[in-house]
Amino acid sequence: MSDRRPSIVERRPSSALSSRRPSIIPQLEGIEKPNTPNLPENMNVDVLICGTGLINSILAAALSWQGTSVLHIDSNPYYGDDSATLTIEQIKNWFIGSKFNKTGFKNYKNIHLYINDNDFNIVSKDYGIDLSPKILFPRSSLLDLLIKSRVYHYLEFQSLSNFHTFENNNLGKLNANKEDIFTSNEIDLNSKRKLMKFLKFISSPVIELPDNLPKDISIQNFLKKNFKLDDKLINEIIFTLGLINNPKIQLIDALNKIKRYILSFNIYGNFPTLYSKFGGPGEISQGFCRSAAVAGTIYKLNTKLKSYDFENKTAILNDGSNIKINERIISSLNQSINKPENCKFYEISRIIAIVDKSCNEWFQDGESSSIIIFPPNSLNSQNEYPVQCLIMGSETGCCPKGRSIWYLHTIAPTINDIAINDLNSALLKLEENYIRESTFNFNEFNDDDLNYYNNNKPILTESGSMKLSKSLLDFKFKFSNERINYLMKLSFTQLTNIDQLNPENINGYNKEILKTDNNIIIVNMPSSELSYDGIVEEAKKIYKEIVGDDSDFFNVDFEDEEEEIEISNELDAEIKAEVEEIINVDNNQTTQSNQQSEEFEMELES
Amino acid sequence: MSASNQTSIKLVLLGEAAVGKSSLVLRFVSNDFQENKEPTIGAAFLTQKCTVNDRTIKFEIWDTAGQERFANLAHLYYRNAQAALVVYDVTKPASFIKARHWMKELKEQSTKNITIALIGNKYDLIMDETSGEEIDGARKVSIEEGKQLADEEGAVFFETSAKTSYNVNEVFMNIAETILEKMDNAKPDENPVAQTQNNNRIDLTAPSQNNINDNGCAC
Ligand SMILES: Nc1nc2c(ncn2[C@@H]2O[C@H](COP(=O)(O)OP(=O)(O)OP(=O)(O)O)[C@@H](O)[C@H]2O)c(=O)[nH]1
Ligand SMILES: [Mg+2]
Repeated sequence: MSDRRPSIVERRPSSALSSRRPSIIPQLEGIEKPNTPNLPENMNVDVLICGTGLINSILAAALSWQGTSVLHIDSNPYYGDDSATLTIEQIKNWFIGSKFNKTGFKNYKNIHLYINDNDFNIVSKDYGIDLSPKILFPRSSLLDLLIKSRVYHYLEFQSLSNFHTFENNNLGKLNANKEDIFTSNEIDLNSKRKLMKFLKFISSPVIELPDNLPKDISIQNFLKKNFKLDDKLINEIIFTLGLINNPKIQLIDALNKIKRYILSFNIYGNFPTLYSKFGGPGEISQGFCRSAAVAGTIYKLNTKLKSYDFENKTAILNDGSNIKINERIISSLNQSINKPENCKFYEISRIIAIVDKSCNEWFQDGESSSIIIFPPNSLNSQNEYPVQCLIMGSETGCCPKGRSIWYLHTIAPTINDIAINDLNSALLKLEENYIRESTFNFNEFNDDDLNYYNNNKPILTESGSMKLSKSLLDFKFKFSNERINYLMKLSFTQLTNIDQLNPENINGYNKEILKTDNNIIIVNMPSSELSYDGIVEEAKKIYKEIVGDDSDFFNVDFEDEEEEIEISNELDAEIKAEVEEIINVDNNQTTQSNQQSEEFEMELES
Repeated sequence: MSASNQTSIKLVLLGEAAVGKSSLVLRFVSNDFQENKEPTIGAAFLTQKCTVNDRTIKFEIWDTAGQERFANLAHLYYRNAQAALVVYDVTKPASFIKARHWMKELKEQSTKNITIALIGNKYDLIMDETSGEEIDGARKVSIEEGKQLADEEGAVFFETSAKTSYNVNEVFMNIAETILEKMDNAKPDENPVAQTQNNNRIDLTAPSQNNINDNGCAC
């Protein structure tokens, strides 16, 4: 495309949008029916997007802010598609839809769902369950985009500090912050030195590999040979800090993944990652949809593409509408009528469990989630691939108090039940560890192994994490009846067309753009990457295919579009007057209401 | 940090097109009124701070578009909202039917604890300014109907005018007070979905540069 369309900002204020419609009294009949908007007749759009998953939603927003007219539909009655955040009722529907391989649920297999409605009074909408949970690194392209696009307004983020590694039948927490390493009693002086040397190497702006490296040296060997780190530490660095799920990853890619963790500290505080409250990718997708809607994208749920005549550029939807497509159709794989040409499938297996425990023991004080990694060969199933777990507690807004959601996944193959065995094995270990940690009777234990916190509340290590010391592990704890009950357990294998072992797909996405034989662009299914890395790049790739250039991707001046008005109204007038008095009359004396007046001062200035 | 003693309230406005949702917000936020306010596209986001019972409240307001073509968008806004204003026009019966629908949908889809106000707007159109009495036949939705619907759904009820500002601040104050009360009364384990807003909330626009040695930071 050579001609640039004017952006939405340039086009506005247009008379078409701002003219006051005549007041029409809607017909009374049918109005009690659910709010289903009808698309205008003879609708004409530049781009039709099917599926409201994360990448599709970013695209809808980016395209419509650029000036492209977009119709965004989803076959489901909710937003999010393959990255949705679902209630329990929606999970039930998802299960049925996936079992029958319906549109919107096309890429799942080996699905099992268990719900214990009898013993637990489950209130469906108290839960927000992510189909593909993710966490956010403070230094990442998605975070930059959230700020640039102003979508962060619509979301709340919380910190996630605890990254545990399962080793020797035990959950340990690596202290990867320099100060923590210095003060740690866990690591001996010698290891400290080696670890610091590695951290210095990895935090340099450009990673410089030694010249004499053997070709194709693995990250494991590199760490062992060049930094003399022991195996335990190597596992923690690669699989826990790096969140790497392919043990055969190339050296430089592995180092970059480890680096993003190290560099993410101290950007927003002393923690490496964030997550969005009330749900992960599902929540962020909705944020981008809101942004798209402000830029004029039309939304219609419960709607899918029935057929597309590529020659005549007309699309027919299941609601009977006939849409003229000026440019392209983009569809998620889940909602596409046809599969892309030469599409091979790869697998991600997941277990999502809701348990009747808060799991606060696994969280940092004041936080409500943690990561637990089972490195290769740490499980009874002799797992070749790591199992990654994300634990979400009630403060994440995704479940009620006293409950938590455990997400486990692996890219191990499903043949011979390898993947599910690994996952179940990891689940069992989580259970065992949790019971051991939560039922441990401190009174019967030798004081030397404990450090006391302020109010006599014992904690196990100086970092406050649940790392059990060796002797504690050996300690025979009394048999307890404590057990973990499952409110819900969902296991499934998600198909993706991304070869996750291919070194080229380092961020989880392919370079090429998939198309069906009638030229519909197919967006990839979520990758196995636990962070949001790769998402923005995937969206940009498709944006470029449509617009011809990605230099103006979200290049919008929002100044007058979405003003944040923060002026005081008359309600504050009285207090304001008071404060003004304080400021004017009593300029240099600090008063009791110091903090208050500071705030008002700021308001007064604006 | 000043944010810690401030309570955020996420509030969403729902209702048929042209009932005056944006006008109510404009009145509350800027104490202003526009005779020919253009329809909202998608939704608008505004914030307003105010003080209720010595506490600072920050309203984060989502003003949604009422036009049919945006109907599916409402989902995006009310899901995690703590408060909703369902607005109709006292001179338009159809807008009241729509309001009933929104009340129902909120009950089914929103957070359990959501605080709802039902608002009959454009009260000025049914009042004769000089006599101070209602103009015969102008009112199309009776107070009783409004009250009844609000009662059925556990909502508060107000008639307002964005034009004259009648009852507008009262609505927002009432919402704020109700929510503060709910927060204060909530026993820790009785409150199923976390309501405490600022708990561990990270401001993405405020990267910290100085806390390398600050282990006691609020994270
Ligand atoms: N007389 C009178 N007119 C009002 C009042 N509130 C709003 N209006 C007028 O009604 C029209 C519609 O008001 P808006 O605030 O744009 O309505 P809305 O509900 O935001 O409409 P959408 O954004 O399309 O959903 C405007 O012309 C306003 O000036 C009121 O209280 N009294
Ligand atoms: Mg409006």
